[in-house]
Amino acid sequence: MVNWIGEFVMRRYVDLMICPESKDALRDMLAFIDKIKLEVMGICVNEESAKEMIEYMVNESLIDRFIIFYMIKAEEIEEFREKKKKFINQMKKYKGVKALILESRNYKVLRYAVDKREVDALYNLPLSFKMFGVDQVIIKLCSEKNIALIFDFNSFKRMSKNERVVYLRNMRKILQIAKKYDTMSIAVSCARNVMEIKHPRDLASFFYIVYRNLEFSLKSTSDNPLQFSDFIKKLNNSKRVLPGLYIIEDDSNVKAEFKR
Amino acid sequence: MLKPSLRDKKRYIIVKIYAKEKDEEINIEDIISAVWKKAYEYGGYAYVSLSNMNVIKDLYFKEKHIFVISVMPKYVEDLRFILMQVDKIKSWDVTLHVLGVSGTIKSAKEKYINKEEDI
Repeated sequence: MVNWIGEFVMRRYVDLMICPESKDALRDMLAFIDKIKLEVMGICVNEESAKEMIEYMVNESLIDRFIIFYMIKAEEIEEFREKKKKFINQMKKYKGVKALILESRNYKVLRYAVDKREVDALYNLPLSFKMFGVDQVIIKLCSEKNIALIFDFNSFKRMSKNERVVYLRNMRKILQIAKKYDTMSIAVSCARNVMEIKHPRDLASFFYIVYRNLEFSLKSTSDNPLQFSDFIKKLNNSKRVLPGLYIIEDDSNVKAEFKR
Repeated sequence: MLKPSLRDKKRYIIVKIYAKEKDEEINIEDIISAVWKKAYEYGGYAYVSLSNMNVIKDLYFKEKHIFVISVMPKYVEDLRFILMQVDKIKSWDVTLHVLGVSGTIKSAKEKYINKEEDI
């Protein structure tokens, strides 16, 4: 009985990431998070805002407190490779930059990235296709390679009514397949400013309204984000060079080897 | 009056408003219109009538910025989603957080409302 109550009370609801648009916004958001005692695992930066934001976080020593997610948008494979180089530079420079997130409308780019495990998470999949375009292969590969599917509530809120309908329709199908293959699917607020921060428990209802399964929905803000962040932290040791690339040490020499 | 066994079961959702302070005040009527607008947008007239949704006027705590909505148990999660979408009440930019869900008004006051500090 005691265990049951303990488990019930201690259950943590986590918002995986916020996505502040400027330094001031980040400062306000952190104050708000502390005030109402929300749990946020990471901060997401774009290609444009990355330099400024990361330098600010290093100065304020926020790097150790949060995971930094680096988000890129690519429509061609070559574009993806080029943008990934920028991420690698940032990763070499600052150890806090840990995870790469990809947003793409192109099936080939998604398949390439997932096949070779060059990303840690896929962002807003339903937004990428006019019709339901992502297949079960990508989602199954995501499950095998510990790649998370991230669904952003605030970008959904900014859409027009017609887009919302398509988004939710595709999202339902993706969640159905994700549950089958046990792929990590996470609901995030991705808040740009203070007024977009949502309580993680409320975010679970974002999944509930399309999939109508409360247990699965709660997992999206309690278990899955913690699993994903643990996975990222484990990877962030000295042996990890890139997503999918590790160094294997011998007694004699140090060799770099692909391990997928 | 109906017998208790024949009445609809209810859950009370306790909601806190977070906003940047402004000179003008928010009334319960403003909250009702903002919430109902989003509810109609989400599920139409059918949802609002089936869910038996009701913003309780007597349970608006102005100092604490807390209000209470009653709804049928089946539709609690849908209402959470609706409340997440409310971003403006009158001229205020707001964000609504659900503090908790309770079966009775008495326990709602004991567990959530009395514990919250005045703003």
